[in-house]
Formats: sequence, structure tokens, C-alpha cells
Amino acid sequence: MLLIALLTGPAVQARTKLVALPQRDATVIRLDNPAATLIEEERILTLQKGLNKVDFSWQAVFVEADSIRLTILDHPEKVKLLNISYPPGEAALVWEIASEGDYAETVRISYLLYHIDRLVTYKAVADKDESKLDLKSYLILRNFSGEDFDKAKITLDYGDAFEVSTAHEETKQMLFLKAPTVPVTKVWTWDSARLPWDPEQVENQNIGIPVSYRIFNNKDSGLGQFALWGGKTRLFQDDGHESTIFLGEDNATIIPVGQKAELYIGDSRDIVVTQRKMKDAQINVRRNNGGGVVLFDTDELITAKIENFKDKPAVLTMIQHIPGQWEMEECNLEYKRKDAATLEFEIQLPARDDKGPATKELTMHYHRRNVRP
Amino acid sequence: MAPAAVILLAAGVLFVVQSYWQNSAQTIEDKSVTHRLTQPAVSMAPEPVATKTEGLASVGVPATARIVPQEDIPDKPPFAPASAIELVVLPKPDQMQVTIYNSADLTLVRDTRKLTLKAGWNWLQFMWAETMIDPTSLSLRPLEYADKIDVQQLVYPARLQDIGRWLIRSKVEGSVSFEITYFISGLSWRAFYEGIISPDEKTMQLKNYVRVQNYSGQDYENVQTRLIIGQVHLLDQISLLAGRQYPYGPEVESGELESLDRGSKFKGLRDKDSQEKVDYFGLELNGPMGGLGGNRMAGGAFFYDFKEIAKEGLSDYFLYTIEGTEDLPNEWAKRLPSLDVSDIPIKSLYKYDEDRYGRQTVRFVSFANDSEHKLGTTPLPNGTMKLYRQVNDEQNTSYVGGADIKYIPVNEAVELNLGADTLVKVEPVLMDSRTENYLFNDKGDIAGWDEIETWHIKLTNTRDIPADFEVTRNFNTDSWDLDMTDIAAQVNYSKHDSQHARFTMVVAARTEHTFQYQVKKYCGTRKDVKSKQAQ
Repeated sequence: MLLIALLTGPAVQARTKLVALPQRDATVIRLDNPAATLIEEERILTLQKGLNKVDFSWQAVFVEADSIRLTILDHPEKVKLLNISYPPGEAALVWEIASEGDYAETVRISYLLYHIDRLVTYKAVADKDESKLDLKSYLILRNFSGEDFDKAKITLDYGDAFEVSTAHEETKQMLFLKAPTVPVTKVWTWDSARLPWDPEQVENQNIGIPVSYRIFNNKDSGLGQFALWGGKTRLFQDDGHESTIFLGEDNATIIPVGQKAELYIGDSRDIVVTQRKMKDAQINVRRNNGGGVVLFDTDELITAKIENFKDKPAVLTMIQHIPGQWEMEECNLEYKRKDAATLEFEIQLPARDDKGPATKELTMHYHRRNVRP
Repeated sequence: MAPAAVILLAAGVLFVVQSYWQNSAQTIEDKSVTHRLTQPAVSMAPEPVATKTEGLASVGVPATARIVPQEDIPDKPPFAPASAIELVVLPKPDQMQVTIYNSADLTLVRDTRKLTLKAGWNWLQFMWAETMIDPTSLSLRPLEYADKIDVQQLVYPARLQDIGRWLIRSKVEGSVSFEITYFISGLSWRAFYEGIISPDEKTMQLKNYVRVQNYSGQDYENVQTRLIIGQVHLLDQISLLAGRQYPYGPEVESGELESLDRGSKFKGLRDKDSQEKVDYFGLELNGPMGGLGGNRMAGGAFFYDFKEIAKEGLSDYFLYTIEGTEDLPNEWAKRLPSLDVSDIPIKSLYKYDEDRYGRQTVRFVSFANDSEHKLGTTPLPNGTMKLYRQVNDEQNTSYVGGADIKYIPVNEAVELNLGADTLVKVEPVLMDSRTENYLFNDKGDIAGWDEIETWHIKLTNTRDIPADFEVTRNFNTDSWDLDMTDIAAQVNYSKHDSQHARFTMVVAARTEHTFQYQVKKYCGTRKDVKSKQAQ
């Protein structure tokens, strides 16, 4: 509980708290910094000409004492905060305020308050053909600060402030963002460094290929006004029967404006990749005087078969890795070099037909250069 | 220190003057300054003053001093008083001054008082029960009649604690000003800062406060308060010296002197480490002080204003003197404004340096303690800083973060590390790596080669204001060449040192920029070839 009181009597040591407690006016709870919540509250202090002592105390709330600030709003030139004293054994401070006149002075008291914070969660419902998401974001206000706030303005680092009351130990979920038509791309990703190459080697088990929804935080998505804070995201899909199914959930990381996010929802067993190394030979071998190999190149051939058993087309993102210095001799599919050792293929897979799965083949013939044993 | 009787009995400093002169009995003329003291360590049944004061000099005597001839004073000092004192004089301090250091738990107390001496030999007793005074620091000197008053001894009596007795040989009879100085532990001060950044993040209002706290066990009233910035060298902690059983040792094992039933020296005084009260969430609930704010006369009208803090350099220290006097009650803390400067130009810089910050982009706010930044008159003491950003014209602010400020001499730059940023990013990507120009030794083994790396540095600014970047790259060798041909025109490059290159550029709001460089590193004997070519 926070208390503010005007004091009488000259001795600070024998402090007397008295007079009407000034009511808390406009209060802002600023939740833009996950590390600490800044509270700004306005109160009217009835100041008398001369020296005034104002006691600010708190009990069972978690206020950082050094962060407490007092801003004089009405007569900043005529009302001055002279010093601050901290009495022993109390969670309190005493402001000594000099006033050139009798004023009902509006002041703003701000302080960092702990154990009041916010979470952000998302709920997204994809349409039946998984081309759009109805995205909603919720603010979860958790107040375990020990303080009740009546009609406080909640301010995030974006969007308009909104008024809400929050009591100690109360958790409140509030819808604060709606984006009903966010374009979504479904992404299957097969990474040669993370998944088994040959399903035959995995006895009687499916190899799940991670499936994600890719969205952009931009105007085309009806977003792009501010960064989307990270939070738990639950994804559903319209099942076409006026109901939904739960697709999966992921923790979204912060999505700055203009950036994309991929929300992992589960693994697909309807796309199968079978990759094998068909050749791995040393060429251009250089030996030292003792006959030991000191330097060589390689001649390597990798093939991969990609099968789509789905009744819909799909785009598979295939990640391949070739370490060190290399040159591609021949590759039948187009790729993008993501970095020195990473190749990314976007492989368009038609839907399966009556004859069976749609199939694509990848062949990579490359040489690694200047390899040392 | 008033009200003396109450405060001093509880915890504080006591004075007793006993004077001896020519064995002539004196009576106490001014009983208003004479009190009986009852303390467990020195208790003794009081007896009638007139009979007991034989051999003691008058203590309330003349307002003006009288000089007596040398031959009237016996050569041999009297034997030190026994372990009990029955006459206590509490002369009022005329002036008190505390000089508090921030680099050590050390405060120099300077206490000026009028003491009434008799001509001849005088014993002055100084008592400091329940305070943290270093007895080895006690010093007494007369501020007048220096050639006629000789402070000959300081005795720490046997079997008594927290007592020192000065033996004074005086040719002066009457009231004399003395200065007593000593070190005390438990008073401390620290600086801390508030910075309020303008909405465009180009300027800042900087406020500096000093917070003085008193856990010395003693109340200070109307003391001149001075604060020292600087690193002082101490051989012993003052709190340890204050806690010793015997001022200069030896340390006596517990139990050895049990038969003396002395008890713990600091019974009732709290452990220094536990003096900061901290709640169970680790937040500071309160600190130790109270007192009046500054008030000054101007133009005949009484008005109140902030207390000035005068700042001056002394040796390698800096001295802050708070205007007027302060009350520093025990266990209180007090915060005073020390600096308030607006419109200080600042610069935000996003740094990427894997050696120092790992793979994260760290935000810095910098300014300098110089006249260009509306500062530079005094060093800035070390302390913590809380940074806020003004978000509208109504002076509402947003908390940006906290940072530590080291001691900043005049004209030195200040750089505040606000930690990793989530909205501004630097991502270096190695796009190509190859080797060439192999050299082989006589055995046919590899002796030298060149490594060529091509890097893309992607700078992403998703904030709504431009961002300045500084990217430092370590090549882990001092033999390298950088191919600058592909670097975008707006990127500035400098060789930072033998192994590091540094790139700076500004990226507009909500945009990305990628620049590229190619570095060629000369390895093994290729390094020698390269250096010969350079010669």
C-alpha cells in the first residue's frame, strides 16, 4: 500500500502523519519495459507557504527507493523539492518542499514498481485453406505488486493507452490487437544437419518434417505499426464445419516491424525426404616427402528424393550444408547461398495424384577444395 | 550534539575534565555543566562533591583565561584517575564537521569545543560507547595558546572500554578552544543519477544526487557535511579498528580474559553488513536521515532554495561541501540534489563486438563531462544511473534502463551501457571462405597459406528513429588486408588496432542495410612474405 501524507511539526524524527490523504488522480502504468514497470501518478498536494513536509510511504509493495521522483506540475518555478530524507526502519521517505505560496499543487509521483508486469499471448485461427490467419493478441496484466490501482491508464510501447482497474493478486486478460486477415505461408523445412537422411535407417518410424506458419509484421498483414512482443501463440484452423481444430502452439519471439516470424506448429509425415551420398572421393591429392597427404580436394555427389503424399501442393524448404571452401560442379535445382556453408532450396511439390506421391529429385555434384586431413 | 544528555548517554561521545593543581581543593561553581554519569562500565556510588573533589580543579570557571607562571606547575603529572569517574562535564560543541569518503567506510570527524582548563595538569576523558570510533585516530589540539598548552599523553585506561584520557599540561586557566578529530565508521555517501532523454534522443537532462547515510551509532546535529570523491588507501578497515578490544592490540583470544567480565565491545551495535535494510525481495526499503532544507536570506526576504554543494579539487580528491549544516540522525539517510543540467547533447550508439558483448547488439548512450556538453566543471562521482525517455509534452516518461557510471574526470567521455537491444540488430554472415597461395617447406608439408573470407554485415533498425552503428570485427591475426571495394559508400571504416577493424554507419528508421567486406589473412610463412613485401 502506498501512502502520501502532509506532515506537521518541526521534528522529522518524531514524524506525525496526518491531514487528509491526497487522492490519487491520473495514474499511468507503463508496461513498455519488461525489466521494470514505471508508475506515474498525479496527486494534488495542499501546500502552505514556506516549508512543507510530505511523507511518502509504502508497505508490502516493492518500490525501488532511488527511483521515486516528484515532478511539480503547476508552479515549477515557485515550488521546489529541497531534499529527501529516509527515516530509519520504515519503507518511507519525506520530501521537504518549499512553496512560495499557498497552492493546491498538482504533482506527479513516479517510481519503479516490481511484481506488476504483462505477458502477451496470441491466438490465431487459420482459414480452411491455410492462406490467412485471424490473429488476436491479448495483454495479460499480472498485478502482484501489493498495490490496487483504480482506473489506471495502461501504456505499452505502442498503441493507445487504455484505462483499467487492477487489484493486487489480480490477473487480467485484455484483447488489445486484432488482425483478421494476416496472409500466411505454410512452410515445411528439411535440414540435412538436423534430420535423418534415409528413412530406411529409422526402423518403423516416421521422420516428421517441421511445419511452420510464416507471417510478416507489415502493412499487408494489417500490422506493421509496432513491434509484436514475443509470447505464447496458439494456432487453430477452421475445419469447415463451423468449428476449429487446434494445430499447435509455439513461443513467438519479438517481431520487429517489417520482420517475419515462423511459428512452429508440429511435424508433417506427409512429405518424405530420402537423401544419400552417392560419391565421396579425394582428388588432387598433394603429399609430402614422406608420402603423407597434406592437402586434397573432394569429389562428392549427393542425391535426394522428395515425395509429397499430401493432396495439396507444398513448398519444401530444404537446407543443405557444405563446410569449408567448395565449388558446385552441377546442381539440378536452384538454390540460394544463405552463408558460406549453407544452401537453401525452395522446392515446389505438386499434390499427389492417383499414381502416387508427387516426386522431385535433387542432385548436387560439388568439390570441396584445399581440404587438410 | 543536543540534546546532549539524552543522546550522549544512549550512544555518543562524552567528555570529562579533571584538573589537578597544587593539591588545592576547589568547588564546582557552575553546576549547570556538571552531571553525574551512570554507566555500567564505570558505575560508582556518588559521594558528596565537596568531599570527593579534593584534588580536582574547578571546571566551570572563568570566561577569560589566565596565564600562570611555569614554576607554579609541578613537574610530575598526577596519577591517572582510577577506573571510575564521578564528575562529567559536557561542553557543548561549537562546531562539528564530518568529511565522509565514498571509497571506504571512513569519516573524519572534526569537533571543536570550549574546554575549561585549570593551570597545571588536566585529564580530559573522551568516551564513545556504542559508536564506531577508531580509537587510534583520536587527536586533540588546542586552537589557541598552543605554546602554553601541551597535550602530553593519551591513555586508554586498563579494564575500561571506549575511553581515552588526554593528559594536558596547561599554563592557562580558563576556557580554551580545542579541536578533537577522529575517524568513525558507519557514515557513508553515494551518488546516483537520473537522466531524462528527449523524445528524439538527442539531448538529456542529467540530475545527480548525493545520498548520505548514517549508521555510525551516533546522531549528528548541525554538522557541516563534506563529501570526498577519491580512492583513499587504508591499511586497516576503520570498523575493524573500532571493534578492537585494545586500540592497538594485541588481539586477545576469547576466553583469555573472561574473568574480567568485559562483555562484547559492540554489544547492541549492528553488524555493518546488515545495516542496509533489505526486504525479502532484495529491494531497499529504507535508508538512514532527516533535517531541514536550505534556507537563505536574499534581498531581505526569507526564501527557501536548494542547498548549494560547493565542489573543489584537493590533491587527487574532490571535495563536496554541502551548504550550511545538516542534521544526520543515526540510521537516517538523506538525499540532496547535486547537479541538474538540461539539454546535454547525447549520442546513442549500437555496438556489436563479439569479443566484448557476444553475439548481441548493445545500446550505449554517451556524452562527455566537458563544456561542450554543458558539464566539465567538476568530476562526476561514480554511481548508478536510471535513464528515462520523455514520451510527450506533459513530461510523462518511459523507463529506458539502468547503468553504472564510473568516476568521470573533467573532459572524459561517459558511456552508459544499456544492455542488449531487441529492436536494433547486427548480423554478420560469413558468405564465402577459401584458401590459396599455399607454400610448402623442404619436407613438402604446408608452411604458409592465405585465407580469404567474405562477410555480409546486416544492420537492421526497426526503431522509428535513425540508429548509429559501430561494428568491431576481430580477425585474430595481425597480418591481414581488407578489400574495401564492395563497401557501401555510407560505411566508415577504420583500422582499430593490429587485429581489429571497426565500421560505423547510420541506418535510417525502420530500414535494413547490408554491407560487405573481404578480408585476406596471411598465415604461416605467407605472413613473412607479406611483411617483406610491405618493407
